[in-house]
Amino acid sequence: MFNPIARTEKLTIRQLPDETLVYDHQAGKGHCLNPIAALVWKQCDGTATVAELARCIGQPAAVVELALEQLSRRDLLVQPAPQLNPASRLARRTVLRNLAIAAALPLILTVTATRAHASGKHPSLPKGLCNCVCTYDLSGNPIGVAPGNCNATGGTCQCDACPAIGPAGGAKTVIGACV
Amino acid sequence: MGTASILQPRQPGRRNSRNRQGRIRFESYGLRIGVSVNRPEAELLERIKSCLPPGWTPARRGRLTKEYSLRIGTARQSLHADGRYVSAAVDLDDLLEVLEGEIQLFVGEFAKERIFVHAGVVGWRGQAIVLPGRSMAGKSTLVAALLAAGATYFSDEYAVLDADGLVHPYPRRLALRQPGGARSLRPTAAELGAATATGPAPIGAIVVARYQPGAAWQPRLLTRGEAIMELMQNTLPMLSRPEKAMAALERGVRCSIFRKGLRGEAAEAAKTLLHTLESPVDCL
Repeated sequence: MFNPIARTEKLTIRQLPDETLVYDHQAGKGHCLNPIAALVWKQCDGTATVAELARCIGQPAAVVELALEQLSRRDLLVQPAPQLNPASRLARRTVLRNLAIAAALPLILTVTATRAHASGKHPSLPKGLCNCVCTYDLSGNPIGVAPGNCNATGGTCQCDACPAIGPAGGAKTVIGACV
Repeated sequence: MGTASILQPRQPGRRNSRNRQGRIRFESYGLRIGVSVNRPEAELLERIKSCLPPGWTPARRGRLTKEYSLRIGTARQSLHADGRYVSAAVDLDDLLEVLEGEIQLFVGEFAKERIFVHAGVVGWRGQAIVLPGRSMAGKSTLVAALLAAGATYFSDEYAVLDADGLVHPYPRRLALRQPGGARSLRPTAAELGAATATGPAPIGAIVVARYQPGAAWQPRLLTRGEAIMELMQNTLPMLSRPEKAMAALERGVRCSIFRKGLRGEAAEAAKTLLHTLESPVDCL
């Protein structure tokens, strides 16, 4: 018997008129729960089963299961929700298909907060430029250059000349142009 | 803006005249930052000064929160932050652009009493239109088009929110990228014929517009929660100060129109966008 419990630790919760915002400090992720998903989540106090939760919020059990699955995937439950067997999953899909028309499905939108420098590439590097990594031998002479990517603009990264002397056995970054 | 008085070429040491240095100490959003360079020429210091965040003021003596150093060589130049290597380049302009970005990101993440969100911002009828998006998402182009259509300039890079959710101007020079990888144009709003906002404004609209050639602007409506999420993933101090960031975002996103979609050419999108925002806004 699975009695879900909503996770409350290391979360910041903000209640909007129609939605619930949750920021997970542990994962660095923000979630936006629509009213149904939020309703299910708030009822998860460990005392009710899926069927009882469904009765409590006046929705089919399939809706509660779907909400729990989404909450569990986002680590918003203390214990993960059990996986449904294929037959139950099929039955649930039929119920949900009918409900989808009424837009009564639980939905959670998730975004990841990223550190300003986390992208690896400098965010302010001008369009058309790329970073190249020059490697040096133990005497500090350049032995190779690895071109960066030009995904944003297309083309290949043509690197500027590596400095003639670099860190012994190390690497330096130079800027190149996407051509 | 600061004055040249804080640009302090260090006096040559008696023992070694090659130790000459130029140094700038400034304060920005409550942070005290230093930039030193191994060459004290006034022209170089002026170029560094142009990389500093809008509204910087000279800092007196005291502990620096961050110290950048530029090492100018004959074949290459390098940038270091707190003694750690950051980047190197053959062309000094490239490195100064990296320096500007580094300072902006540092200030954006750690600014006291302000929450920085990656977004272009213009003022329209007393409210701010916020265009969240990372670098190279086409923010500056759309901002420039909105300015040409009569909007007031706040920023092409950051929406700076206070604790009440009001947006403050961050009027850096725009960065208008050029085709073919040429260096960005960096005009001021005045050079584009637009006025710059002088004070904060409430958010009137949040518009997530991604450029796709030929696309017609037919945005979908976002809910308030979705709009906050769009800002959240572009908020610099989201990891370091999530509580304050969420509070500011929630307060900021109250009386707003929320839209998301693909846009075609910026001039056309700007006109349509401003037309959409003519009608009064409901407050939540």
